[in-house]
Amino acid sequence: MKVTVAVLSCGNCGADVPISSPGTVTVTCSHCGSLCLRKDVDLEAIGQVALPTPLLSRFELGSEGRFEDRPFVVRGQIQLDHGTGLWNEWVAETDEGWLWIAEAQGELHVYEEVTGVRAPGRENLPDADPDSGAFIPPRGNERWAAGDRVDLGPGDDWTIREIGRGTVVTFRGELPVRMKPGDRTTYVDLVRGAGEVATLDFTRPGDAEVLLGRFVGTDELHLDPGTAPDYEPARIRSEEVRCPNCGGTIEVQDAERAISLGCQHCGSLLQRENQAAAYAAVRGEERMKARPSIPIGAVGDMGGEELTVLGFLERSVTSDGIRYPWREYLTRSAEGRYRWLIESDGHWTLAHPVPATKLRKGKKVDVGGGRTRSFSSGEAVVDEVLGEFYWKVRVGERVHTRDFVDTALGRMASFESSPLEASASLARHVEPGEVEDAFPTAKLPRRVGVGPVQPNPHSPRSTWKVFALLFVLLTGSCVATRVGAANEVVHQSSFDAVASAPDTEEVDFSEPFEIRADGKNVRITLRAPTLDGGYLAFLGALINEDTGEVRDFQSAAQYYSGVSGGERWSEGNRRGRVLIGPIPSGRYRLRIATRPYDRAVSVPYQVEVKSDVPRSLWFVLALIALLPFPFIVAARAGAFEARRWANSD
Amino acid sequence: MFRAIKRSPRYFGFGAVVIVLFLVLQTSGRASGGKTRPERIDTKQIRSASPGSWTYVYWAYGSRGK
Repeated sequence: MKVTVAVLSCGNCGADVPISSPGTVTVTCSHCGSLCLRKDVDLEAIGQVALPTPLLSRFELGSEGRFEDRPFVVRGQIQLDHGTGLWNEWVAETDEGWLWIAEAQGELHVYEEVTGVRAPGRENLPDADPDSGAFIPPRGNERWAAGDRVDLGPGDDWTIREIGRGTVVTFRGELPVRMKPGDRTTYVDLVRGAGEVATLDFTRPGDAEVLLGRFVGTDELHLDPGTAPDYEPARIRSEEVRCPNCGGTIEVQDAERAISLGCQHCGSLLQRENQAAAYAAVRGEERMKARPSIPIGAVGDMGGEELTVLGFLERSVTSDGIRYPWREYLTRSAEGRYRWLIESDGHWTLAHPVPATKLRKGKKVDVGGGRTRSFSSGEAVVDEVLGEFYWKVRVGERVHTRDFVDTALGRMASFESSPLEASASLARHVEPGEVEDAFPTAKLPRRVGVGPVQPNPHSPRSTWKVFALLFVLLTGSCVATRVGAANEVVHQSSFDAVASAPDTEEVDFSEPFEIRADGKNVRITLRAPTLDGGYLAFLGALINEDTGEVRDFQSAAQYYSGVSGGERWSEGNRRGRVLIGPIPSGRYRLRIATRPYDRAVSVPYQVEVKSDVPRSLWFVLALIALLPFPFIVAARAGAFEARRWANSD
Repeated sequence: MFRAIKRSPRYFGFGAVVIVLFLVLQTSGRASGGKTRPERIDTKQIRSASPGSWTYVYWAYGSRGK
């Protein structure tokens, strides 16, 4: 989509400068490097620009792509310095206007300027230092601070992610605005929802210019490979830097982005202003108290990404006089994304940055789809620095941290905020074995206690679900066997009362009867319905008339009643019941001996024999066998959680 | 549900064994306790003497009326 709408002469060298867009305001001359302001028929040279520092990028002037079904072509590149190194912003033209594509630390944000949005005024900005021009961290609530809410209109709920000032270092190509190197920019970056971003640009006098956009993945830009440069972060060259303090050689893996270097030999800290500047020591030799478990420079595969360990930090929070340290390893993926491998008491998590959209001081946040609970918070201090970092890290630097955990998903959302900047990350639990597999040379510390997002090995919910399934199966089996049981009355008989004295035995024989169910149980019920005030013992025998085998059984009926204090009472049971089994089918007869115990009893009694009777006892016993396990699991899970939350504040 | 079983395979296995045992006991007609093997007693003997012990009956089905 190479289009030239006009060719104008450079105001400095007179060379032809093609203008690709009617909206171009500022253009650089590719012949002499002059910065030109577009007039009606010519170009006015207003200064000189240096070539941008080469930074790994997905874009080049002329790169073409498509964003939300709108074709675009990159017309200009601005290189900015916000005090933490250089970054690129690319200006792309579409049929409907201009897109601003910010590219930093492997992330892409696409913005569009919008009009008609009423932005709060610049009186909300913090005071600036008169010498450096940088913002002074605000105190009190009168000025904006990171994490504050900003209202851009009805229903809008934006959060300040960063407030800062930067400098335009250089640019090239065509821009839709007037700009020159050295211009100071003033911006307030906002975030909302899962990935919406906005910038309030106070660079120019008057009301803020409002740019709205969102985080995008490279694939959403549908870049034409024929116009886009090769983007291979894995090929970022490493370079060797000599420590000015000890003379030792520091191998810098992330040479293009590294801003801070912690010397592994002497512990001194080196920093540079930006990627185009040289390193200088900002802290002298320091004896390192903490040593990384994973060597700096180690390369390992975690979660499908090849990660290179770039730097090591030990940070800590002090609460009630007790210091709680943890260690963080900055890693870079082959795609150029930064990941944090964090170790605390031998527990590991792997974190990646996410939009800091939920910075309200609530007890719960929602990041990454999971519900999280507040776990801990405090003032985190950087204690030790080793290796390389893409920002100006300082020992003693303090930020407020707040961690939220989703123990079910094994996720932790961490928020860090200083008065001028807020960031968030989402971490997942990593088993030490995964770290060991990824980095075989690592010497991992022993795991102590329970980690904040260590998955609970005991799952009461799963166990109760399994119990419910087993209960259904058991109940179904019980119903099926009850329905299938014959439960057949095979014999009934009544015996007349016989005068008897205590300890005197009377014997009756039943008529023969047939039991057809083979190998099933029989239940014999003995009833003395008129028994009152006595005890009648039964000694029975079930006699197989075919084989002569005898199964003896015992039972008793006893029943007492009376009136006491005007109230009628009764106790005992006029019925005795026994279960025998399993027995073979055949012809049977009952022999029943009765004998009163302590007083003469003379009552008639009845006998009933039932074959293949279902038993509730087995169901009850099975239930008793199944029930304890879920309770035990629930207790163990509770104990595990108690150990986890003992580390929480 | 399959995920729950996957997370508690031992309990599910134990439960399956319990249910199988339940089915075996329920369908085999087994009565709990007591002797399962019958005695072979002479027919004449059974007419003259009761198998078992009255003392045991009194003990097992204790009288409350004394």
